[in-house]
Amino acid sequence: MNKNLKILLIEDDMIEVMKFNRTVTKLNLSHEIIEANNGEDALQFLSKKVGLPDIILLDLNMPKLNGIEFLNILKNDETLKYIPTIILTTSNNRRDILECYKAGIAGYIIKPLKFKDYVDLIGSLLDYWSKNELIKG
Amino acid sequence: MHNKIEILERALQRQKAARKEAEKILESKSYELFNVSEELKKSYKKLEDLLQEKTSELEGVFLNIIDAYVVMDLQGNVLRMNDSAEDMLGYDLKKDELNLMSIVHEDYFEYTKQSFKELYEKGSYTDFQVIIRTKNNTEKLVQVNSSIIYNKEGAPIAAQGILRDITLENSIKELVEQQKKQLNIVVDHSPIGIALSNKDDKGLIMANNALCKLLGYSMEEFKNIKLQEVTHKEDKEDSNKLRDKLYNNKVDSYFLEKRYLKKDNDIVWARTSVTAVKDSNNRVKYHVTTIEDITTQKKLEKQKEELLNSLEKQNEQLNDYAHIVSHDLKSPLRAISALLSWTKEDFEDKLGTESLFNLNLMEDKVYKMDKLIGDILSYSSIGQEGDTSDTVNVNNVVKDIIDIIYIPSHIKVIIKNELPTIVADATRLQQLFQNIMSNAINYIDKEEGLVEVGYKDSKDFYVFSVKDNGCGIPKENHEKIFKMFKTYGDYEKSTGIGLSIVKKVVELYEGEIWLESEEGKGTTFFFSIKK
Repeated sequence: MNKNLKILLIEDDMIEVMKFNRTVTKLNLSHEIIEANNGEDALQFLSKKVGLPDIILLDLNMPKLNGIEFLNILKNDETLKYIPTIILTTSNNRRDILECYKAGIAGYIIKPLKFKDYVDLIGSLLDYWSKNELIKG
Repeated sequence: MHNKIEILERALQRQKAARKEAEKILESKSYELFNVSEELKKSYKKLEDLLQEKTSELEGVFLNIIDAYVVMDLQGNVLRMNDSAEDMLGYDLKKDELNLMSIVHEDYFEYTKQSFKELYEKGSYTDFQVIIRTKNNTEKLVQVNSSIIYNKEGAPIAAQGILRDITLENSIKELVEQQKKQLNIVVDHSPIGIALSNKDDKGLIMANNALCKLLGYSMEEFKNIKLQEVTHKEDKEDSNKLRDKLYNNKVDSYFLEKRYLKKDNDIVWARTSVTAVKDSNNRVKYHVTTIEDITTQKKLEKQKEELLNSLEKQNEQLNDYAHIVSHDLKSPLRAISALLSWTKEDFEDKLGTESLFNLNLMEDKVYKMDKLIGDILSYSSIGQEGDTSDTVNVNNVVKDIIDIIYIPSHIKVIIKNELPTIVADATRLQQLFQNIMSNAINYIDKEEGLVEVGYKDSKDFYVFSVKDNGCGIPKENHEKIFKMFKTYGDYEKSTGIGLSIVKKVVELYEGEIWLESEEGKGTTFFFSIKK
């Protein structure tokens, strides 16, 4: 029943990217993962409006364009604003959470410390989204 | 001949007629004369009457004059005086002889002599003031207006004087002067600026020293300057509105804080109060304005405000900083943790037991480090903006904690009595109870552990207690345990921040925390939260 997702992962930390990929492999999932090391790269990719992702996983703390700035640009774009965006972060700063929800996000996940917990969490996240009906293309 | 006679006859006739005419004129003239003399007789009589009248009238005036009236000879011997004079001086001319010089106070001798001299020379002397001693020995201050009386030939024969007792008048005047002086001293030495003004005047009627000093204008200058003119332009509108209300009799006084522009263009902040002074007909006569310099106060207020603002900003920055630092510290920890678990996973077969043990130790340290960072972050965020004030049932908070935290099977955690519902931030309450309850559990060294959460109502506070039957805390550590990073037990995972968090939350709710403990038997933590 689960669909395969096209996921844009915006994350500057190499090991975090490795963690995500390893999780997907470990769980035997065949989602398509597009990696972007920062907000600018992600925007460049998205602005082509070709092969848009089903969901975006976004880290908040990034150099240059930070997560919230990226989110605001995204939400001001007539097409891109419909892509569900889930925050993946270590920050539980109340203000960050509030600002993200104000901008319009589909979820806010705090990365657990233990890799095992991380796998469980990402597993259920991907499971949930692959059960959702999504705008394709 | 005939002609001659004729001429003579005619001449005689003319003469007869002329005489007749002359007689006629004489007759009418003498009649006229008679009339005039009759007339004169009448007027003389009239004059006589008039003179008589005037003389008696004068006599009456002399007797009835209210002020004391004295007639004396040129040596000062009193010839006549009226009743008022007798009353004033206490002498009766029928019995006593009186020379004015004899009753003059000795200090006034010279002055009196001088004045007499002047009187003779000029014919009159006004406002001569002298102290006299009356017959019954009281001293009186007397004002004398006098003049010389001359005879028909213009030679001086006597002097007359009107005396007024001004002792009382003078003392009242002195009293008024004195009071005025005293009032002026108060007004002039007042640290508050005081002005007296009138709607129609061009400037101020009066400004005291403080006001002149405050605004830099002299009293002379203020006579042409109204306070409204030196009001700061931004405050003019408000100030004028109030003043108009006063002018239109809508209010009797008003009060405002406003700025004045000094002569040197500096700004003075002042607390100004204006009061209308009305006459008996309820018409506004004056306005009294008092001006208190509050420039320093205003400056301090502004400084305080700025300080608060910058403090708020700094607090916010500190909060952000704590979050950023915690993220920067947590990220590498997450990476290390992930790499450790992959190493263990990938090389499970190749790693010896010892290496595996060390890797597990490393993992533990990473967890502890992570907890430390989390604790510091939550400590620093207590009291930050974002806390809510909700109605919280403390029973539910404690029950939730019992469900969440790890409780070894040999330990029982119970709620001893019904806990209250209070207004507070639910997260903060959870932090508070969870830390104390975890502590209680962690330090239990008995085979059967018991942690009891209780509540007691006090007048202004909710007082909670958490009692354990753990190892107890020695008296000398009762204070120290609340200090940051201090741990006194042998509990491995302690970061030394838990009780600091507890204390900070309790203080946030204006409460206190204290404990009772017996070593080996257990500890009870009490903490209060203000209602």
